[in-house]
Amino acid sequence: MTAPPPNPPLPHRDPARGAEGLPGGDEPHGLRQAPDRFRATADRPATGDGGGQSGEGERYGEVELERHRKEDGRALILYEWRP
Amino acid sequence: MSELRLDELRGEEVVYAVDRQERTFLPAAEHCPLCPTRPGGEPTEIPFPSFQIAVFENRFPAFAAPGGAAEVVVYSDAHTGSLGTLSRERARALMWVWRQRYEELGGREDVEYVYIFENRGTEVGVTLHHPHGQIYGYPFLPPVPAKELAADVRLGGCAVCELSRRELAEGRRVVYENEGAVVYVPYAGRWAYEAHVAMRSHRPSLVACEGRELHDLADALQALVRGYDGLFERPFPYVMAVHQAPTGRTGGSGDVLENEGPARARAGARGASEMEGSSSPSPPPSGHLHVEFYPPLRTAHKLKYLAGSEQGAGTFIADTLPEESAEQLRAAISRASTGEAGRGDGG
Repeated sequence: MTAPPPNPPLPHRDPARGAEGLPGGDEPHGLRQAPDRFRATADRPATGDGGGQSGEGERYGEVELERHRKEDGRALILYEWRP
Repeated sequence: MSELRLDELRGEEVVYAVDRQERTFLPAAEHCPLCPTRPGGEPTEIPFPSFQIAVFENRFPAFAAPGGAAEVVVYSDAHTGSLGTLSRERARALMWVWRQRYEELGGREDVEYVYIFENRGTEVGVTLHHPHGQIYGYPFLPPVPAKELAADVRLGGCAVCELSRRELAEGRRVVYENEGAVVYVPYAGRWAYEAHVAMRSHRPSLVACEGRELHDLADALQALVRGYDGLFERPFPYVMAVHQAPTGRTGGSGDVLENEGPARARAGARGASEMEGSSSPSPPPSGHLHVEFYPPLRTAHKLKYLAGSEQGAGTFIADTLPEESAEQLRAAISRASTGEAGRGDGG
């Protein structure tokens, strides 16, 4: 039985990247630091299944994500498949 | 705001989230809060007319910053369907969504363990039928993943690696496999049709997976869920639990095991016996990405209840043998894969 390799450091906690290594800024809660774009994008047109949108997205692997904030302050992220 | 209280008798945290008492309960489809907000229609949690996958902070959270997180993951803007009926592309996208959430939530100082899960069916307490899962960011390491880390120590290495190896070697309980993942009814499964989906290679978390492995994981999950649904020709209720490495200070440090005491010592002795011949030193516990399914059905119409022995003594009494369940489930997965060939509803 081989010994498992250690879990890779998470970017937020990777000392090489510092405590603010990813978007999220100086609070530990990156999600809560997302720009408030809810009102600006809430009326975007429907584009059928998949909800394609033309706004700038944040790339993550094979998906693109768009951060919003709901009227009550809660975070909302929309993801689209972009292989 | 939730309150944590330590049950000293069991050494386990109990979460009091009294606001959740008021959460939405089985609304009619036209009032579903997880559907998109249609023009002129009732506002929902997702104020867009369409979307692929959405994640938002739970309105009725069990945990909230700075004491953890609770999120809802909506798989599709279609009100009906399931993980099994998603298109292959959507299911693969979902793996990347999980990965992104694991990474982001795991980076928070108030999150010790990122737990992705899905409750499917009213039999396991679902309150919304729209296809969705949830993510809890626990501010502490919960007991089940802590036990899995203890198993790493007991077996002298990664427990999931070792158990997968045993299952593959024996083969009788393996129900599906592809290049990156293997699905089996575990040797000591507790639920009649319990199944585990494990990564073949040692991957502590989704973050450690290559893209093709995420695809293989998605394919394996869909194959299993489709097989479940075909088993009794009905939507199959389950709890799906994604187990990964802890992200907090307990991850890989081993300090979570410091209080295991005599139980740990006994287990360590037994593990040494079972693993005789292994010269590997005991590595620090890290976890291994795998997905566990706990279905409550033991027949098409009978539920397994957690009763006296399970709740009061902590010992599961199973009514079926894993080998027999695996045979049925393997056949159901095979039938479903034949029927599903080329299918994809885009959901």
